[in-house]
Amino acid sequence: MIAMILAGGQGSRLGKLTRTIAKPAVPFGGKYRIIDFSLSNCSNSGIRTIGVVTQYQPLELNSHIGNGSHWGLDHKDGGVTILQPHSSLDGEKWFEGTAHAIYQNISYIDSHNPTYLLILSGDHIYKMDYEHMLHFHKRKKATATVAVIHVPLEEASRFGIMNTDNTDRIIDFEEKPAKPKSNLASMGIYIFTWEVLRRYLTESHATGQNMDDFGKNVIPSFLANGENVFAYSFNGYWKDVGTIESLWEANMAFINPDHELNIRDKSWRIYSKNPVAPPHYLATGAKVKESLIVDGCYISGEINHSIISQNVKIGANSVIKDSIVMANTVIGKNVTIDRAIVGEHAVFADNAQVVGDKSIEVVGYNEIVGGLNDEEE
Amino acid sequence: MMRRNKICGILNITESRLATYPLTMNRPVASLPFCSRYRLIDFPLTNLTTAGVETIGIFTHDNLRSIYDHVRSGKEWGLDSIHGGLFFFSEPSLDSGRGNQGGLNLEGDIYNYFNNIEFFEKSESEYTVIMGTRMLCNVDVQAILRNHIEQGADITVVYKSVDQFDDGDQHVSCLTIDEDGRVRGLKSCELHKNAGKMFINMEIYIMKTRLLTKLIRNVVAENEHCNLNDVLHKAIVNLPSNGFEYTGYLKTINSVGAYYQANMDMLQDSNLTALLKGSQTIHTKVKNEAPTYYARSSEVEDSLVANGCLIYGEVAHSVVFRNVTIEKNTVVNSSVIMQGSSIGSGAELHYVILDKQVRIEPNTKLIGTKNKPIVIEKNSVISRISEDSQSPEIRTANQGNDRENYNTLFS
Repeated sequence: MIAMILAGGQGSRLGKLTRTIAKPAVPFGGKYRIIDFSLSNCSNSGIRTIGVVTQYQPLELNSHIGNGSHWGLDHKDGGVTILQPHSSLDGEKWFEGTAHAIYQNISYIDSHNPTYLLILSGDHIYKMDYEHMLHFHKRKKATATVAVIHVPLEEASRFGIMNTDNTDRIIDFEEKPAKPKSNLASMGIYIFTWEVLRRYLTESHATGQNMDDFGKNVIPSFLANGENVFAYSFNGYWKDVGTIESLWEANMAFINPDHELNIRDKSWRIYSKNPVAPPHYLATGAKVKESLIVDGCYISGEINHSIISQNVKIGANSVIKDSIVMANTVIGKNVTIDRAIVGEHAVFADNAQVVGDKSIEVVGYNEIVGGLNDEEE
Repeated sequence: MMRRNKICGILNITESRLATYPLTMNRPVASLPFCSRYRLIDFPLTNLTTAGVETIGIFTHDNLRSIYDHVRSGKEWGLDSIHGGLFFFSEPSLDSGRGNQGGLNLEGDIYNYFNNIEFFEKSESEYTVIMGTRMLCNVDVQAILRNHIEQGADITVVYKSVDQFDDGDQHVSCLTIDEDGRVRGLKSCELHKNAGKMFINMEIYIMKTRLLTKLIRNVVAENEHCNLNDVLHKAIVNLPSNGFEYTGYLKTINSVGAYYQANMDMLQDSNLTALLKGSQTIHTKVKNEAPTYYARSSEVEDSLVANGCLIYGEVAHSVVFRNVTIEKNTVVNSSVIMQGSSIGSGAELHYVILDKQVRIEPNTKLIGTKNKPIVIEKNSVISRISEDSQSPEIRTANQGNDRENYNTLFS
């Protein structure tokens, strides 16, 4: 089985945080990026060949992934390949949808000649053993398996909802139904028998039938043709951090050492690109409570229920509360940051204040807060 | 930019382990853990590779296991390229009990160099730089080479000038240097408060590779048994040699006290910046650890802490390595806590060095002094047996050699 990670999404609801980088490259949990979870799951599940399909703002993502060595994915056969849209004799090939992105990369997939194809999205936080799902796919003699998770019924209308019979066979699929019949939501994780999916994609392309999206086109078309489509139920932690609020909430919950994700579990590590930095230093007068701190920081202020990423400097008498400070940010003295997400390489002049109330404040990458506009100037 | 292969590097890590016992009972000086996440070998390896050295020979008569486990292919230092790379030369010496080989008495390490002299010849490098790991420093090898070429000396040796020294009892070799930077002599001396100005020999040498192989061949031809450093000590006095002054942070790790002090030095920003945050980023083996968690009950000040820790207690003026757990109501003060150790609730530690994977049971009290910190060996379990005894009884359960090997192998 080989995996294709769809990492081209813009994630426009993350506003400033995805203006210059793709959503899968958005930092999470102090030292990870969102895509680290899918990549680590692949590595831990023993998948050796992974295509990462990028499109929107791929620079940060490409440099993050490199040759995949940080996830142990630099195999001599396979490894990680970044797949970007390209032009050809048939014209430009921008990806029109999830399934279209797979169609455009048929030659890459064919070159590895897989029996099964795992489709992942690069923007979810979870730990999952894809090998279990493959066993399920084989046991059920399925041609398509969709991973599903139970969501609260009142939220079900935000998802693609599967209705199954008592053998887990999917009998009906509705994209964002107004009146959901079940609470089994698609996680955007699919295993296909490649030969079958390949036939659907190429034939529909030849006949001009729209087959651009897995949820909207491919799965309904499989069902209409009586293919064996099964729902694989997943019970662990799974979070789509698609909005500023959900990203903030997921990070805040992640601080808890008893978090369901169990990030310290050595048998299923989440890997990331780890730049080398000295240990972090907590100065005399620092007060750090209920927080996560990463290598390379210099901390002299008060940190309360926050995540401080690599190489952040925080000056004396500054107070950081219920916030996420991303890597390489410099915070001066007497700064107050409350209920905020601060992007990488931001700079806070002394006495600057960023306080979110109902909604979470976002300070963008490289943004400068305070200083020249300060009343003291 | 430098022509490929202009210098080759030698890491001479046949350094005596006795001085830093028990920390070096089962590891060479080169793999002593330092400053929360490094090992001493990281410094010369980084200095060499940052200067563009692509071929490095590691010479030792010690067991290479912990070095090899840490360095592997040299990937973290960019040494896993198609050019050059890392080469290991390990030959047992007499004191490791496996002496005589080929009828030669292998006293000293010089035969390890002689038997592998092909390495220098094959590297085809014009210059060779020799470094050790006991002298903790961060040097610019390119600058030393430039100076060596400018001065036109046969050998350049790096030294640091010290006139104030407050740690005492450090035996080092010192150079006599005249005003134009020429080396005139070498003597063993003791550093203490009123020692006056001294030039500490940092045991870092640059010379033409041809000269080095000639020195090695000559001494073997005379059937002398000695160490490479002895050969070089003679050579810098007998041949036109140039001293290169290093002005950064230096600590000679030749006692447990010095090791402890070096770690404590890093709590001072100026030292940490000089050694670790300067123009050269010190590389080390990367581990994927979660961020460190500080609980509501934690109180941490003036301390360096690595990733992967869980901190519920009080930590002050200490250096904490990866994956350390410090439970509630503990006090850790002026201590060095190595990787994987855990400290039970109610424990109190002052001036203590915990080696890797030590378990301190709840309510145990260990109090050393600044000049004589208590050292707890790797994998020990320490507990206070009775609550009311004045001095805590220490029960060391060393979990045997197999366990030790296992941990080193997989840690």
